Amino acid sequence: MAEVNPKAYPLADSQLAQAIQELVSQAANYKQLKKGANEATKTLNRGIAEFVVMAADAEPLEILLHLPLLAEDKNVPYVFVPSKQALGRACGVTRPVIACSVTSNEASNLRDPINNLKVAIEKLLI
Amino acid sequence: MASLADSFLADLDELSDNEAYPEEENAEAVGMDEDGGEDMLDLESLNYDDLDSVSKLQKTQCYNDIMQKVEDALQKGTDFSNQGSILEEDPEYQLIVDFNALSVDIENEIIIIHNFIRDKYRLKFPELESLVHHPIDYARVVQKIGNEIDLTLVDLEGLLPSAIIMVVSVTASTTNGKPLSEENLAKTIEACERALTLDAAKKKVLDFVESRMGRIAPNLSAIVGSAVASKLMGTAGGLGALAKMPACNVQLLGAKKKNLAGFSSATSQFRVGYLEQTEVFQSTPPALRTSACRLIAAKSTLAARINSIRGDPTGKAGRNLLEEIRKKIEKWQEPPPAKLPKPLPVPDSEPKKKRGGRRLRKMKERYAQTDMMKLANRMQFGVPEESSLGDGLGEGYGMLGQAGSGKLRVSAAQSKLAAKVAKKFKEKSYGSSGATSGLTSSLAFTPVQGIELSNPQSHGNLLGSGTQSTYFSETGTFSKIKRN
Repeated sequence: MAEVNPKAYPLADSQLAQAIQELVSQAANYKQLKKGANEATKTLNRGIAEFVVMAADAEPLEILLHLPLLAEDKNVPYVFVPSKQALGRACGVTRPVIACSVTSNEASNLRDPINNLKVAIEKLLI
Repeated sequence: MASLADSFLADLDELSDNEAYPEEENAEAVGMDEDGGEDMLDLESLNYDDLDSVSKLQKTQCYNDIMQKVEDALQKGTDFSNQGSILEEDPEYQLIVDFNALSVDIENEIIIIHNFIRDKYRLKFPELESLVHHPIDYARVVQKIGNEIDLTLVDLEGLLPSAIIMVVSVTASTTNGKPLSEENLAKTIEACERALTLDAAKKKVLDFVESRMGRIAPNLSAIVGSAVASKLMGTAGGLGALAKMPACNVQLLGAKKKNLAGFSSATSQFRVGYLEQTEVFQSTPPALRTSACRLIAAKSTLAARINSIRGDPTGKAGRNLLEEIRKKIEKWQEPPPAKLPKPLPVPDSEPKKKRGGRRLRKMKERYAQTDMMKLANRMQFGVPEESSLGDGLGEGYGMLGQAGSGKLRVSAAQSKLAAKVAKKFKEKSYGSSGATSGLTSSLAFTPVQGIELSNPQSHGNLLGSGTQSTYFSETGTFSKIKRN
C-alpha cells in the first residue's frame, strides 16, 4: 500500500479500524448508517450524526476534507480508516465508499457500542 | 492587508473626482437627496411618476464601494504576490463574494426600471412589451424609437433580429398609441439610460469575476466555466459554503430565480438553475439532460471541495472530471449492441434407452388396459351398439352387453398375475378345496407353521369323518339290523 496522505488525520490503526468496520456493518443492519460523502454531509448539517468514518485512500483526498471541518463545527467525532474497499464492504455495498456516517437513535441496541467507539475515536486526538 | 485597506479608504476620498460616473455628478447637481434605504415592502405604494422613488440602487454606499474596488482591481491587473494560504483571507475573494450578492440586487433593480419604462411607454406603443421581452433590449428599442411616429425612419438594425424588426414596424403602423409629452419622454429616456448603465456595470464586474475565477476555483471553472462558477459561489455564499453542500443542493442553485441571462422565457421549459448554462449541458441531447445535470452537479461538487482547501491549483483534477463527464454522456448516446442471430441449441444426440425384462413387463401389466375397456372400444360387425343415452348419444358401449345376458358385467379371464397371486394364496390354505363350504374360513394354519389358535377345519373334518364312517364310508359294509 502506498504512503498514507498526512492530511488523513486521525488515522485508525488496524485494530481500531477493524472495530470501526464491525460497528459500521452492524449499523447498516440496524438502518443507522448513511453511505457516501453527500449523505454524510446532510447528516452533519441536520445534527443527527454520531460519528463520521472516512477512507484515507480516496483519490483525491480533498473531495472529503470538508467533512472534518463540518464535524468540528458540529462537535462530532471523525476518523479515517486505511481502505475504501474495506469500508465499502463494511457498508454492504459493492462499490468503494469513501465516507459514511452512523446516525443517532435513542431506542437502538447499538447505543452502548457507539458510545464506546466514540470514546475510542476521541482518544486518537489526544 | 492594512495597506490594501488604506488604499481603499484613500480611494473613497476621491469619489467626488471620479470620472467614471458622470450621471452621479448630474444627480448631485440637480440636488436630489438620498432616500433612506431600499424598502421593497413599499413597492406597491411607490410613486411611479418619479424615477428616483423606484430606483435607489445606484445611490447606495455598498454599490459605490464595490464598483470602486472593481475599478481598482481591474486597473491593477493580476497580482499573485499576496496569495495567502487560506482562501478567505484574500481581499479579492471577499470582493467577489460581495459582488455576487450585489449582482442579485442589480438584476432586481433592472427589473424594477423595466417595469417603470413599460408603464410610461405603454401610452405610446402598447404592443411593444409583448414583442420584446428582454428588459435590456426593450430599453434600447425605446431609446431608439423615442417619440417617432413613422418607424420606417428609425433604424433598429443591430438591436433586434430582422424578423422582430419587421413585426415591430408593421405593428407600429397600426398602433393606437399617442405620442408622449416632453416630460414623460424625458423621464422614460432617463430610465432607459439608467438601466443600460446598470447592465454595463454588471457586465464589467462579471468580467472581473470571471478573470479571477480561474485562480480562486480552477477546478470548478474547468468543469462549468468561469461564469457559472462565479454564480454558484455567489449563491452559495462562498467557496467554503459551496464545498459543504451536498451535490443535490448544488443542482438546484439558481433554480428559483427568473432566468434572464439571454434565454427566452417562452421556450425554456426545463429549469435546473445555473448548471443549465454550462457548455457540457447545452451540448447534451434533450432526452439526456436530466441525467447530465445530475452528473455535472456531482462532479462540480467534487471540484469545489478540491478548490476549497487549495488542492490542485493547476485545475488538472477539474479537467479530468470534465473528461469523465464527456465520456459518460457519449456512452449514454451509444445505441445498444446489435442483437446477433441466435443459433439453435445443440440437439439431444444420445438415443433413448429402451427397457425390457421382467420388471418392465410387470409395470406394463399393472397399468394395462382392463378387459372392460377393451370390449367397450370394440365394435361387432353388423350389430348396432348400445349407448348410455340411447340412439347413439352419450357413451358408446361397444361390445359390452352383447354376450346375451344384457348386463355390463364382464367375467374376466384370469391373468397370469392374478393366477400367480391365487396360486400363492392357495398354498397357504392347506387342506381346503374349491368345494369348501361357506361356513369354513379359507385361511388355515398348517401344522408346519405351528400356530393354531382356532381351526375350523377340524370341525369340518369331524363332520366329514362322521358321515363317511357311518353311512357312506368307503371301507364300511352293509350293517345288519337284528330283529329282537
